[in-house]
Amino acid sequence: MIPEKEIRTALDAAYPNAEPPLALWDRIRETVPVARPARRGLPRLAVALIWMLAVLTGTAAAASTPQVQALIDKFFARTGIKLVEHTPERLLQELHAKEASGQPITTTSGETIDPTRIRELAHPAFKLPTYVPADVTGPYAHVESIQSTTISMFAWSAAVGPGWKLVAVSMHTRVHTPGTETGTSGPVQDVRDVKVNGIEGTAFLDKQGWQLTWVMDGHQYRVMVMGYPLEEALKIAESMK
Amino acid sequence: MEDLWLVYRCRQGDPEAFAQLYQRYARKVYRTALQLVHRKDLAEDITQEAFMTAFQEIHRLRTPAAFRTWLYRILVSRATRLLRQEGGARRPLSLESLPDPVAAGQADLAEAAADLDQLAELREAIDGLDEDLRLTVLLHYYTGLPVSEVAAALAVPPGTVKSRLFTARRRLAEALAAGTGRTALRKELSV
Repeated sequence: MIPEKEIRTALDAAYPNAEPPLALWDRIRETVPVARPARRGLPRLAVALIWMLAVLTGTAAAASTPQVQALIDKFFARTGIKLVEHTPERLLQELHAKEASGQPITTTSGETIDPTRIRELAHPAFKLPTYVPADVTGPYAHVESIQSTTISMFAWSAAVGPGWKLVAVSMHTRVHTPGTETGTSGPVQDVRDVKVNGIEGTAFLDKQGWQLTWVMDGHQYRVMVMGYPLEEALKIAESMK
Repeated sequence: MEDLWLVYRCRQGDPEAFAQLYQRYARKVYRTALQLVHRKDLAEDITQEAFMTAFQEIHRLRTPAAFRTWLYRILVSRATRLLRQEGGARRPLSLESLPDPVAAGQADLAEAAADLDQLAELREAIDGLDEDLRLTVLLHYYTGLPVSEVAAALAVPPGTVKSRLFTARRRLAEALAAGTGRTALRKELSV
């Protein structure tokens, strides 16, 4: 038997400097279907942080990626919500800077946490796509992530801190009623029936802000709207299309 | 940025996402194609076709996170078809495909020549494998796909991939022991 290492070495040694010609991309690019350009962001959310995350409760996110994707596709199709354009560096820089400062960190909900916990709290987020538009200059931004965890959401709320407003879309495989909500958001303070884009759902208020929830096909979707009154939160949710 | 997200953005029509996916995989796809056909012009054609097909059909990809596997599946399909069109005959390994020992910093040229000889012998033995074994070896050992992804790319069960890898290594050992790998290329090198 030939050792695997020798096979790899023999293969790696071949064509060590071969590069696809630059003209190749030019030819391919001409055929790329870009008829519908990505949106540059939603003006009415210019002071909002949009963060789209999908949570498969109790399931490893990596193993569930196709399911998450399929369900989010469905959710977007039903609600008309679409993605905005973004880049990831800004929030990462914010988070790293706060971690490096060594000073206590305050989340959007006013909770103070030890900066040494940032790495632990943010860990899932570092591996996942979360984006801020490059052209944002103020303290607020649009952010989207199609996959994350409630822990990483908490970390992001620490990254932005008080004064930021956060809109997040999440998806859960198990339906949580407001009364059973757990985690870092504290007890439910208020519950309302809501209708967004013609779909009836429930809104509840906790320490993080309002969470608008809809149940579709056994999955619960949420739009978390931090820092906004409910009426404004509903307008934001309706404008996300 | 994960493939999943780039694929999502591609579906939204974001040209930058297409460019990023291309930049991520172009070199490896091209080199894999080159390993398969040993001809630059064919490798270019295969790479171009693979990316064009992948991008044009990206909305049909059921599991966006599996873009890489899908891309290599298309690559294998195109390469196999092109090889058939070329009459099924693979060009022999070219001198160009081998590393330059001087450029690689090997001071002892005699030792370098011996290493080169061994590499060439093994490479030739790999090229002498049956097509299904060679594809499996390339995708796993060169491209770096795990067994599960090789299986998906070749549309065979993972057990078949493992079996092929085992068989390939055994046959390579037999070929080297028999010296059947030492053919024209070795003669060319010794001139």
